[in-house]
Amino acid sequence: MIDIGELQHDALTEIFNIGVGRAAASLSQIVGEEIELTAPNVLFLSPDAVGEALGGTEFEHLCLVAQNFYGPFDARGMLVFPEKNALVIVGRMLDEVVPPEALSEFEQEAMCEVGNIILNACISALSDLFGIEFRGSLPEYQYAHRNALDLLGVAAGSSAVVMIVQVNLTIRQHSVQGHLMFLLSVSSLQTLLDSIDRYLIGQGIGT
Amino acid sequence: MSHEAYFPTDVLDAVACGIVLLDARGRVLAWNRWMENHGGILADQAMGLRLIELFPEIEKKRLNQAIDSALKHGLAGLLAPSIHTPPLPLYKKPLNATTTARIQQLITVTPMQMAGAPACLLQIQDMTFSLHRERMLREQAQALARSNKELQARIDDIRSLQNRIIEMNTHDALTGLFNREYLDAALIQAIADADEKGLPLSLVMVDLDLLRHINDEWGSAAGDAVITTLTRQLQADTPVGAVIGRYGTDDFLVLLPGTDGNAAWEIADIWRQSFNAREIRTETVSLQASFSAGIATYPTDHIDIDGIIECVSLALFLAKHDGYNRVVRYDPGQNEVF
Repeated sequence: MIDIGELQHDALTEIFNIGVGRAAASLSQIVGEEIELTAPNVLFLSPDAVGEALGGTEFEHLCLVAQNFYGPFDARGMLVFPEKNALVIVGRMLDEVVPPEALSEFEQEAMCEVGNIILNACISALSDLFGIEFRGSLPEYQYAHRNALDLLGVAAGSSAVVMIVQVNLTIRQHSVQGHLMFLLSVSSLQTLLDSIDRYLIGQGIGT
Repeated sequence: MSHEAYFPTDVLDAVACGIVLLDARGRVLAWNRWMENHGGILADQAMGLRLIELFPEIEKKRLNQAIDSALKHGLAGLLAPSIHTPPLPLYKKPLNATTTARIQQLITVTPMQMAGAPACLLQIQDMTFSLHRERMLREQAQALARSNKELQARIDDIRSLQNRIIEMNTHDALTGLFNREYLDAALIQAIADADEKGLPLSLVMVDLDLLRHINDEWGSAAGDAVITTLTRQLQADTPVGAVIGRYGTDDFLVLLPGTDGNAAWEIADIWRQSFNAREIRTETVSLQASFSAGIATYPTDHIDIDGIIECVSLALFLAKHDGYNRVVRYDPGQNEVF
């Protein structure tokens, strides 16, 4: 685990909650009923430690929606849900129960859009609050086994850093947990931390 | 600014999906023929207008938010047909717009830079057919899964029925012993074995005394209790290799391979004594019962199946005739008497 200052951590958590809050509003509008999204925690890890952090048996198979973001710092952003949780989300949005083997391109597209809404909302929250600009690619859907390095597309021992944001989604009293992951190069991480510091100073709380 | 520098109109018109290019303020820069054909709005009419002016219904909807996000934040967006009702009023044939359903739409919203200013490209794909086919396939798959399940349940029923029929064919329902059909086949086999090994085969026919009387006096539950008690006794005290079966309503046949007439008599008389000494209880009554038994031995007494059955039946008849509760060996001398 990579430590950042408490103020930085709190600022990031707040920004991600603003992001997922906006995403929840969009998703609720689409589904026509309330969807709640919260981002209770933000962690920085080395790629090798990600598998353990995703932990738990329910993470055997993962659904992943990935987008690349380019700007002052570059990041590959991913929304990761255990497969069955992903099916719960999509199944509920599509109002039918989808057996895992029947996950067609339509559910994949639906997952892509869910990921797209959440990732874009978080990145635009970062852009708004930090006053920076990004470009974002279209979302891609991936399905992976638990190997986190495969998932991230990095080699073992990579110097990259993964920012993991735990995401809880509640729909019709049904709660599922997933994670947002942002793969950052070391220099991108530094730029991100600098941006947070500038933001804190702008808020009159940084030094 | 014209889109021509980036996308020649001919090319856009040739593309088999809807293409709309918007400038930084959301005004239409390009509108291809697909959009004209399916949206009922000509490129000339659309140019320079904001999409929201052309389609007021998209205000505050996900499509408009995605366009904002692309123009303001440079972020790409995707609208999946499976979770949206079609966002734009696009039809197979716009002339029939009032009567036909909207085209199912997969929309991608891609941010671009044109002449240093943000722009945004919408691509609208017609997913109507694929979505329809997908739903049909899914329904068919579910129907198949259902009928497979029903079929499997029927196969299971048939299997268990078959097992019961096989069981009923070889076993007596009350006692679980072999039935008459099985005994007939077993006797043929036992005689063949006796011939092969050069050993005797004794038959013991056991008949419950006064079973009808017991049934009449204490009810058929008491009769059944007597039958099952005898069954348990025969099963418990029978030598290895013996075959026990229910031959008729109240008689049992025991095949004792490798056993001569004397030895068979000894065995059967022990059964008789011990059965007669038992107290048989039902819920309402406690009683004692007895049986009579006849014995015949192959090949000593007879050398064919029908003959040996006749011999053992005769010996049983004599045991009854002599006053019940006894075991009688077939004696050729007595045959003369009857």
